Amino acid sequence: MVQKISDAELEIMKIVWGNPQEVTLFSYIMDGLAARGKPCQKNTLIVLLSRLMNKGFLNARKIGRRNEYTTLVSETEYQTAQTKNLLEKVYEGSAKGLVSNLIMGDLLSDEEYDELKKMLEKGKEQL
Amino acid sequence: MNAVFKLFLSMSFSGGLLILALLLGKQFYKNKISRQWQYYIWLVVVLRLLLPFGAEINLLGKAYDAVDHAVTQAVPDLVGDRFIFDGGAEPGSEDESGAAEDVFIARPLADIGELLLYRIWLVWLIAALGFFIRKITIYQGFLRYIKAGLIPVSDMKRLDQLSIAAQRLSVKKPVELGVNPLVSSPLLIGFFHPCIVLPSADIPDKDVQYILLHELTHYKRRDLFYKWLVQAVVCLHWFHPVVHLMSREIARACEFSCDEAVLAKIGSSNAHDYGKTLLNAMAAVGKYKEHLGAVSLSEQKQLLKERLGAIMNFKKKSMAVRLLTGAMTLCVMCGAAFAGVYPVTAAANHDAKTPRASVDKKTAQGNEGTGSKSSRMFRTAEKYYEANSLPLFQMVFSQLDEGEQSDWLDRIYTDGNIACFSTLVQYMSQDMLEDWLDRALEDHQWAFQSVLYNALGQEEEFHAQKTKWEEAQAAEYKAVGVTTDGKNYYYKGKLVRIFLDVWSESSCTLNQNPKGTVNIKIVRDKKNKITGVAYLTKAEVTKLFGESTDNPDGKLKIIPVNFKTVAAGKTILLGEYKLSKGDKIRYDVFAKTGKGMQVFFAKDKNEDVVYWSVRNMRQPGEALNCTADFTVRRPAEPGTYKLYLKAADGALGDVKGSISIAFSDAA
Repeated sequence: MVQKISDAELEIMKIVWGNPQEVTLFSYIMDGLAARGKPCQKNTLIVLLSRLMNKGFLNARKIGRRNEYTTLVSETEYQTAQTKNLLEKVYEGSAKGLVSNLIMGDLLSDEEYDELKKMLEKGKEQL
Repeated sequence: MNAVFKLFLSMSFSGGLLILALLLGKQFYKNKISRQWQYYIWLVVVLRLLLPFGAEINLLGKAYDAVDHAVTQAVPDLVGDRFIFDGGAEPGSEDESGAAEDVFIARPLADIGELLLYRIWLVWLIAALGFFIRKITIYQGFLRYIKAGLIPVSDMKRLDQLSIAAQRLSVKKPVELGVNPLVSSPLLIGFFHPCIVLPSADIPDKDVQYILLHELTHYKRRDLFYKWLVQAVVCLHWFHPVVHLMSREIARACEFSCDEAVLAKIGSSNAHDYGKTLLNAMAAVGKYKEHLGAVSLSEQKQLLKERLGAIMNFKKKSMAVRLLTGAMTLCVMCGAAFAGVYPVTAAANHDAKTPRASVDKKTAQGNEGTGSKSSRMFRTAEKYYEANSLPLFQMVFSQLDEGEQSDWLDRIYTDGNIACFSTLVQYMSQDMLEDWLDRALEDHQWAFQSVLYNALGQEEEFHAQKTKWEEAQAAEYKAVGVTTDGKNYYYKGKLVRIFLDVWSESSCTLNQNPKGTVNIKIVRDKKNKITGVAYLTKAEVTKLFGESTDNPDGKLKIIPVNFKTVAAGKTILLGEYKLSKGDKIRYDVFAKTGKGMQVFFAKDKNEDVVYWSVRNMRQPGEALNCTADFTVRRPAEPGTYKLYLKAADGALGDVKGSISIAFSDAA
């Protein structure tokens, strides 16, 4: 079960997910936040990171005096969990409702629509 | 254990005095000196209440000596437990049954009191534990309550505010920040993972800044630890109302001093704003009253008013005030050190009595548990023992099971009741005798050793041991300038009147010679090595005997007994003494040869009626002696009595020892 995280925490997770390296360093997140226009104090980041660790999103390995962070929950896992949550909460479990809303609400570009269509057909063949 | 409890009571008492002094003093210094000082000075008191150390000389030690005299009247004087005979006579059995008209009154009241005293520490400890556990569970419940509804603050701006405040106070550890609408005012929880809990997320930035500064200051000063230390003290001293008062006072002082520390940081120009924050924080008070263990921003309304006053009046303290503060700290610390505790040596003396407490406990267990014949026996034994009725006690004793017997022996040994002990030797197995001998050897209890060697048929061994020990002892004394001829001690060529050598916690050598001119004591170091000789001070002599011995014909009269022979049937007059109620009489007379001896008092021209008489026959293989303690009381009338020693059955040879009379104040 993937827990919910706050916006600030999601911001940090995004930076960690976006890091091409295996491990992420504290300073990397610090810089990332500044680059995203959301600079914060060192202590703030420490508190937020420790919350993420408590929630099982991150793992920290102490090497010398610096922490190396690795993700325990991938971005896709998180998105799936969040989508499921959205489905259950808003659409009462009906994926059709969600997709139709996406289409009807003009939330999909044409390219995206085509891609999704291909994915659907591929999925059918596999079955 | 009882000694520990006594020690503890004395700590409680001296701590209480300190608390009262500080509370009274507060009226004068409240607004004049630093609030920090007013907060931390309590730490001295708290330590006084927790640590059983004190300066060597202290007030309470003196007071306790007096109290002890009152409490342990059953053991009339120090000499009683510790008298060591140096005349070469052997202490042996005493048989009360031969006494003609003994005036003996049991002391039931004193005993019930004693029993209660021995048990009370248990009540105290259980209650203290109970209170502490309750405090902890309440705190845990409170934590659960807080944590259940805790929403972590995810607003970066707020968190940054916290970080900045933490940096300002150089708090290194990351502090969590959460909101729980159920708390009435901001508070700090967690010893090692601190978390500040705000009642709402919707607080103006400025207020939040002050609140955070305040709570972080609490964390930085480790107020939570202090608070719990105080709680522990309160639980231990639960019976002491003044200690509860102290705990309240510390809680108040904690907030005041925290305010002061914050104001020192933000500058007094912001005092007004800070006060406003306090008021705002109070607006929502009254949801969860229990603040035990947590450090909250505002605790009570009347306290708030005072705090506002203090905040507005905040200013840096002048040099004079600081000097005064330093001087006061010193005073309080000295007070703590010298108000002191029940002296450890005195406590150790009482340790000797602890085994007896265990007997009492066993008695009680017996009563509750089996309720059978055996426990009835035990109680009967108790009764006879209290009444000093040895033959009856002996009979009951033989019926008891081994465990109970050994309890009794323990008690009798601790009481130093050699007479009783010697009659019980016949019921002891070889192993038991040897065990007891080991113990007596260790304690240098010559009287018991003598009895035990006798019972084991090793009398020669005893004499060899004793002579060897005495020789070694004499050599040691000589090294520091004290010489002895076995009976008298000499120091710097002068005859010694009182000679005292305390060589272990429970035993000592005490020798008196009324003709002597100097009072000395042997000084020993911690390893029990003799390091020198000191003159006894007047106070020490008083302590030793409970009354002055300055005037040999005054409060304590020692009548030496030393006859080469006493012809058969002859009665020797040892003087005429005016006795009054409460006087204590002690016989310690031994005869090397002879079959029967009697020591007694009688009124002039009426020698047929004897008082306080001890008449003993020599038992085969035992020493002949008359040793006993009496107190003058009804039905014997006060008045003038003559003291006699009688060769009751054939001639006596080498009669030695002394008879002492301690006159009570009524005389």
